[in-house]
Amino acid sequence: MGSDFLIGMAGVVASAAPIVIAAIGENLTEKSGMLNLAVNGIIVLSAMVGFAAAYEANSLIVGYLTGMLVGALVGFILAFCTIALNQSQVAVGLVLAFLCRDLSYFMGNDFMGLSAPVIHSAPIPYLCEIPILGALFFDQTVICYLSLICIAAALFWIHKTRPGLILRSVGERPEAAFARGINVNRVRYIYTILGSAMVGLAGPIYSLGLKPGWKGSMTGLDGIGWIVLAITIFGGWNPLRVALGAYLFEFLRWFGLAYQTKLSGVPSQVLQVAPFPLMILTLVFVNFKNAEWFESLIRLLPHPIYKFFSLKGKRRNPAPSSLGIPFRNV
Amino acid sequence: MKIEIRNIHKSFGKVHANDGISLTVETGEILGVLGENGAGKTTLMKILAGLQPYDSGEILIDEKPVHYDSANTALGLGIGMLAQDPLDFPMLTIFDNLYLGMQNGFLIKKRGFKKKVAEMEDELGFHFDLSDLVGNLSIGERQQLEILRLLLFGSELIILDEPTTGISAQQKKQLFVLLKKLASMGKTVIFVTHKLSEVNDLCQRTIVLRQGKLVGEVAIPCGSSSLIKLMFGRNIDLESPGDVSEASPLFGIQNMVIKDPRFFSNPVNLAIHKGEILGLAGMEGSGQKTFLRTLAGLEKPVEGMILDGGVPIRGNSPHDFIKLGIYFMPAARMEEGLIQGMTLEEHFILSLGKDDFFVDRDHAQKVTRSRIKDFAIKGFPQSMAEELSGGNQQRLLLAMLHEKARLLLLENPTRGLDIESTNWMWNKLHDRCEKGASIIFASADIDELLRFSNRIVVFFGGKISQPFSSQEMNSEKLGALIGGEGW
Amino acid sequence: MVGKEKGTNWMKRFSSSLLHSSAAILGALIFVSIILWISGAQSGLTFQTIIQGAFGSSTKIANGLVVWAPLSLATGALIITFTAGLWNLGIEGQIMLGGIFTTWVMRLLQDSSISPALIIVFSCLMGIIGGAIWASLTGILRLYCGVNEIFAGVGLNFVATALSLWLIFGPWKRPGIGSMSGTEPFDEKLWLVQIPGYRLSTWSIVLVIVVFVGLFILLKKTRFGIQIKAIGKNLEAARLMGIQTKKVMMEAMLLCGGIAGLAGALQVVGVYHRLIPSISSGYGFLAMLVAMLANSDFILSLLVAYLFSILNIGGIQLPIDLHLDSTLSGVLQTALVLFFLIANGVKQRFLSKREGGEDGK
Repeated sequence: MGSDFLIGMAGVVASAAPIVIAAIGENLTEKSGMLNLAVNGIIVLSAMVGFAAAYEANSLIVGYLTGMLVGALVGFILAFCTIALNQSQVAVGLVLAFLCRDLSYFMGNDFMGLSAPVIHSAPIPYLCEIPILGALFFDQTVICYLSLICIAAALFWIHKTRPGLILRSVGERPEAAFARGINVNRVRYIYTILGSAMVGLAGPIYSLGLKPGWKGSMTGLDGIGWIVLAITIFGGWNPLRVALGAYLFEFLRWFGLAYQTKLSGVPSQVLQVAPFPLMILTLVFVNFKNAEWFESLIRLLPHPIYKFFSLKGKRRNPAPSSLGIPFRNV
Repeated sequence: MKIEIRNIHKSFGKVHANDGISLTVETGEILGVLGENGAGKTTLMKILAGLQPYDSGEILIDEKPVHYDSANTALGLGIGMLAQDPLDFPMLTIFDNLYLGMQNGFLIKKRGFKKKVAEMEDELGFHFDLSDLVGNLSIGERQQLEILRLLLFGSELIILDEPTTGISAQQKKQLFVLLKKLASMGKTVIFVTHKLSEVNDLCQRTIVLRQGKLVGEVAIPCGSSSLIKLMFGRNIDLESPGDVSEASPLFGIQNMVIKDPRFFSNPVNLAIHKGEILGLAGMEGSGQKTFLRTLAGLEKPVEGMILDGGVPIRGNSPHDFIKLGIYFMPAARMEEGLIQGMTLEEHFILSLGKDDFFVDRDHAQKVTRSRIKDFAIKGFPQSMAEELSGGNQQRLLLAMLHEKARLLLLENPTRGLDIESTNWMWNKLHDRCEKGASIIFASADIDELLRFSNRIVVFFGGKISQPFSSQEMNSEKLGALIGGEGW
Repeated sequence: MVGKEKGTNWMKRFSSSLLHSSAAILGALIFVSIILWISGAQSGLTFQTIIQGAFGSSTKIANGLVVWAPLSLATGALIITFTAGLWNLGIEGQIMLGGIFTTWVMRLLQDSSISPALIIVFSCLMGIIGGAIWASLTGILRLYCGVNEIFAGVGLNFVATALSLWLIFGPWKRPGIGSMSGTEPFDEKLWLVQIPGYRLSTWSIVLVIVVFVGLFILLKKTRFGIQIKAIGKNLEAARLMGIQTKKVMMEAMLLCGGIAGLAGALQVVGVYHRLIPSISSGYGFLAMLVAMLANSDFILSLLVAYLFSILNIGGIQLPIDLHLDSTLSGVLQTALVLFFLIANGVKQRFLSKREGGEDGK
């Protein structure tokens, strides 16, 4: 039982990798005040293009890089339409989400059922022999290590570096940042493109590893982008909490699948969409967490649990203040 | 730093905001800039600070002509401006807020910078906890923080735009001490205000702006009456306040405790009489806004209740309160009061209309036309709200208050209006009172409060005073109360 | 200045909007041609195939209208929520629930002695209720639980898909084994009357016109219409004016869901005559694009919806003749909206530069 569980958990860490990377990418974008609703489309399109590129070049790295390039390009279009052309971030984001999805189904037609290289795990010598931790974190694919590095790097970037401070200031109060000589819209371009490139990396992680191949609309990637967006909110725009959200999500999914046999009465269709009501519930929870009656309710709980959930002394609404609001200098 | 401006012009559409202004400010001088609202003070200061481009003219620093087109380049030349609403980051720590835009390099280097900050703090005589959030500071402290930041950046000229609007008397005293210290350190200070006493307390010299023109340059001290004449172009007689109405109480407030983001108030008991005007005094953010919003049903009181003719009001939305004849007029015109992209007629349909399903457009148009005429709004039934000028938007807001209103809650009803419009506005409001409505209004202007209210309630740091009859009140006493003295 | 003459302005507006919409169409066509070139297909031939696929025969023209009716209904529904400032992406699920409720009632009543016309009317009404119920979930989540309507809607779409799959493979499966082809078709007497030889029913066309006239009156002539407009443009100001914002927004959601449910009902009684897994056919998302492209204008919506229906029908021919995936129509449709947004932005920039000198601030 123990080792089964460990294998399961290692699987959770592995399968959360694309969500972690994409959600941290979106986190960075939103920190600058830009809302990228195209995430869902970017993941599907980059999965397909990344797969096609890896197939043609017979190279994994080409696949990943192409996926990121696709993401970056979509991010640029989003930033251009919303910043330079002053269109609504929601409208452009949604249109791009649909466009990317349709585009991937159309262009991916020729790549259906082909097989491209697939990434294998690369255990880190010595570290992988540490009991439990070794199996969980050091016997994974390179991409999975990258997702772990991403968490630390994003935390470091946002809180310990000057560019990170600039990023936070732009998301909080762009007009004040502008008055201090920061080119607000350039910062927003950069982080929209960077964040989208990270989202674009998530696609090939699926099509070249977790769900190898391209099967059109049956690939089962449609919808993950929305989960990524919800996890960003759940994590309160903090890379560490966002990553924890991703692991929690994958854990629940694994739990559902692992115990599917025991819940034979529940039809498979229901379990497949279980993530989405779960997503809604977490968003409800995040909102209630901000409500006062929730605070008084959880005060009844044991202290450590109360302390974890309580927002006393913390910011009630951690969303970047200027999220979704365009900035124009005089 | 000596700064000289020559023949500066700036127009917004048809409004000549700055009309050929020339001026010299010497090193170490504190110059006052006086003028009523809309005289062009803020525009001139924004031009000086690089926040606003100008149409023509010249700026010279230490005899050398300079050009700049952004706040950042102005800052680089040593010109820093403290805006009315400090341009800082409430959600960042004080350290991050100071660090931003100041240092280069990739990593945030804490130690060296902290030392630099501490040195400057010692020189100025105040200290901040650098790990605290900016948002936890009072407005006065945030002003000090901004001045500290500008000095760290090496500013030689500091411009302050109406810095005393939201701060207490105590904080004002501290600010003035600080500004005098800056002048003695050889910094140049430009101090914008519309309050005569402040110019007399602080400045060596003042200029007066009226309708975009520089109309006078006066050495301080000088008599108030000549300054008033320069500011308004005429003498203004301050009227005495009206009598407290002894009519029956219309609304009552019983043990009401309000909740502001920063505090809970003390319980308030108050009766509002028919036809009475009640003024809410206090520095901005002392709870007047929350008080008005609570009475309008926009916020819930923590405790206590509001009585309507002795009966507690059981509504929980503005809709319910409006049904009872309680109307709220917000200060933020385009944000909370009017709707961008909707016509005046539609505004009147929404605010004055009946509860019919199909809208009677003919009737609506008739109503709209008559209101436009009565309230002298420069616009047409089909004009969009955002096409009106600020003053006309304010008139529109006033016109949207239903005749059936029994209690009008007005948040800074005359802010941004000139004297003429203010008087006109108050004439209209007095008409309402004669017809039996009561008014509660908040204002930052002591003169307005004393002139128009029957009774005044003072707000200070979460405390709400008993009502004072304005006959037993004078501007010194009220000013002291607003500043937290004499409680 | 304020309140200028309307006549000349209208002409100017029309010609400038003509200019920028043709620019948008051109941009989209060029974009799609590039995509086709990358895929190694001839763009001329492809567009020709789409047009032939849409207009090649009277059946195909009729099929275009078969798509147009539910698509228009969904667009009309979305115009309400758009006006109220809500992004009701959950419309897809609302259409599905309309279809599910309709099927449910028809299954219950199909063997009864009630007259077929009554059964159809009654099940369509239930479809409306089904859509409204699904929309109310999004509304409750948005208004009382603080969940953005985009997330709530998208999540509920997936749940609706699961629900219909479960019904088709579970309780309502065909005799023997459930299949993706849907539930057992209804008896022909329960079909919406069709024009002989075509899948098109005149009733659906009439329904669209009736609904659109109703919506037009509702939005332009009633207090409710002005209230949702106010809410969409400035929620806080609307609240301060005494509009019961939550109630009105909920009503807008319910109305939108109801009409979407009607579209789903039409899919069941008029087109498929059974419940299929994708009963909404993606018309909800498509309608969102239509409403965006038509800028929430009723007449324009009907025209754009027709254009999109043609593209949908024409796209079916692509895999048959050219071995291209039919999602090309989706690419063309979304590209049109994207380039329309871009053209809008370019126009605004151009105009603001020209007027900047006069009243810039």
